[in-house]
Amino acid sequence: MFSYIICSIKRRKAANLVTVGISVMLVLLLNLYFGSIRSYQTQLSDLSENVPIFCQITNLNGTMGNELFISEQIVEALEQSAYVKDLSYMTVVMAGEGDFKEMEYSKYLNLYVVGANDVEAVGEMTADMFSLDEQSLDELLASDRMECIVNEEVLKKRGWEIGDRITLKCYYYDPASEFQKIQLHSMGGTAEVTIVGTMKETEGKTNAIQTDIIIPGRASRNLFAQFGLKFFADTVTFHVNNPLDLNGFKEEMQDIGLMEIVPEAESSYTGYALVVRDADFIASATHLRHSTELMQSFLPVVCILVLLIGYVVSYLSGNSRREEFTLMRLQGAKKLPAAFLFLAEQMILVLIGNVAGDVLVLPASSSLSGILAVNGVLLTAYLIGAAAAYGRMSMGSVVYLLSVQQ
Amino acid sequence: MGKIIEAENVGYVYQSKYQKTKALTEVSCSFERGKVYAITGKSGSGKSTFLSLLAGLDVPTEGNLYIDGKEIREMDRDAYRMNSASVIYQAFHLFPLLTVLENVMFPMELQHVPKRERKERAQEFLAKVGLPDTLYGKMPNMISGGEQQRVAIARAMASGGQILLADEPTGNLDSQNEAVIVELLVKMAHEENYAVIVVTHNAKVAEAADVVYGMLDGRLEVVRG
Repeated sequence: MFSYIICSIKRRKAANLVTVGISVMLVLLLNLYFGSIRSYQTQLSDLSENVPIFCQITNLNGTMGNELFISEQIVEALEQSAYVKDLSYMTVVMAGEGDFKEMEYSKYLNLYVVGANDVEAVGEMTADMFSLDEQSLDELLASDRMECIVNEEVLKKRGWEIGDRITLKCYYYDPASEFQKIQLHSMGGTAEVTIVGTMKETEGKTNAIQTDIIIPGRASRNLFAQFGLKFFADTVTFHVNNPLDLNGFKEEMQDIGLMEIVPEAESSYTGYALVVRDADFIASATHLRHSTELMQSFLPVVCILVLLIGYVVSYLSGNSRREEFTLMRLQGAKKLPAAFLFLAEQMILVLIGNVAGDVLVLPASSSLSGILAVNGVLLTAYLIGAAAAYGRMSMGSVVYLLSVQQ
Repeated sequence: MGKIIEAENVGYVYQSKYQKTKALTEVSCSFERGKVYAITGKSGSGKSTFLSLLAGLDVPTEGNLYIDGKEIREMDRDAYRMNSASVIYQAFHLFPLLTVLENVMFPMELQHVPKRERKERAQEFLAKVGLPDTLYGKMPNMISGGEQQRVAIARAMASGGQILLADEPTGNLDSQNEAVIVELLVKMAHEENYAVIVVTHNAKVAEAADVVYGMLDGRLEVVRG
């Protein structure tokens, strides 16, 4: 019986080409459909990379993002949180060279020393502005070594050289000071720092913090600890690690002690409110979720459509081949095997169309599972439609079919 | 010679949603191998209905029909058509997608005869019906009506059964081809021992038959035999 299928496939070229063509079209359209869903899903999963949620600690009324007092407990809690990534913090202390007397501070206290754990924490500076001989900038800032990078102008003016070990007497801003009356206090001793690199002066940048010396963020924290003082960060920023769980993130931030901004609150230098710039992310994620759900809701319709196409194509084909079916029955072929023969032929043609469609789609598709999904949906839905059509064809009695033929 | 088909008070009623039509009434007759039977009658008299029952395409609504002693209702009627009885029609009914040779090979394919054997046997049957081998590779629509009917007869032979049923086999043929087909049917009965049962309007076909039945309003009568 299967030799009949081979003869039929060879000899009904035009009709078979139409069936194969329809199958190729269905593969292309289904790939377009599943590809759109996949694309939305990929965009959603990559959204945190493409639209990162930026967070910054501010004072309670949200008017200040730097020059704040942010406690070390908050910095440590953020460092340990799984919801936080790319944490940047920095602090500023004033310093003077050498071990001068405290009463002479106004004469010597002329160096701004910034402790930062990465370059982005230092205002408008970029990595290309730094020059280090033996290590990378990121490596240095992430360490706790008492090493520093000095502004080129300061280096020249003071006659320092790379490799010099300098003594600094540091003063910190006192968080206990009342608002508008911030005072500097001596840390109580000197620190030895080795110069390992230089940096250029920031030019034409209005928001840049004056930076004469940069030391690693961890080293600045150790400096406070060395003199028995509490460390306070000046600025803290970070990105949300898992933006798709924003509610969990916000709950954890509340547990850490970071509150939402209260615009009517009085201004202060204490940093314990959090600005979460998630509007773009939420808008994009909502749009992508809605689009994905909308596309997915059409899946039953798409399946029914393919099923109907399978039914109609097979019904038309079956109608034009009733004589062959009747003759097979007349020769003694049983109803189901005879109908199965036509169904098998139809499915072979659809399979050929499927493979041809896959070959066309393959260069543009990176997902094998997507191609398998298309083939699965197409073959299953089409098979059901075709089986229904050929099942219907096989219902008529041979006598009736013969009388129709006559 | 034993009876290969025996009908006992066979009746058949067509039942539609709104009405019943009695097509056959108390038909009793028998058919033997080696003879040509003609069933004549006007259109609508029930000839073709009776032939359909004989071919196992349907079963009587009344009475009994025995094939080789077995009641047709108890038989696998598809297997009966595959192995014992073949039908040829006025419209030839050849497979349009198969060549002449493949058409004759088809019944043997259903019987799972090996390919080489069925090809050899198909060629034999085509030679028996006098079809030149130049036509074996042609498609049915490329040969004449007479040639197509000869292919249909060769295909009937290929099933290996001993019953040949023919419904107006010469209806679409000219007189020359008609004579050839009648001669072939007679030869099959007399030389190959087939029971050949022909439903016909054609007097010449009836003349060639050994037994002639007449069908009138669903009742069968012996006209000659």
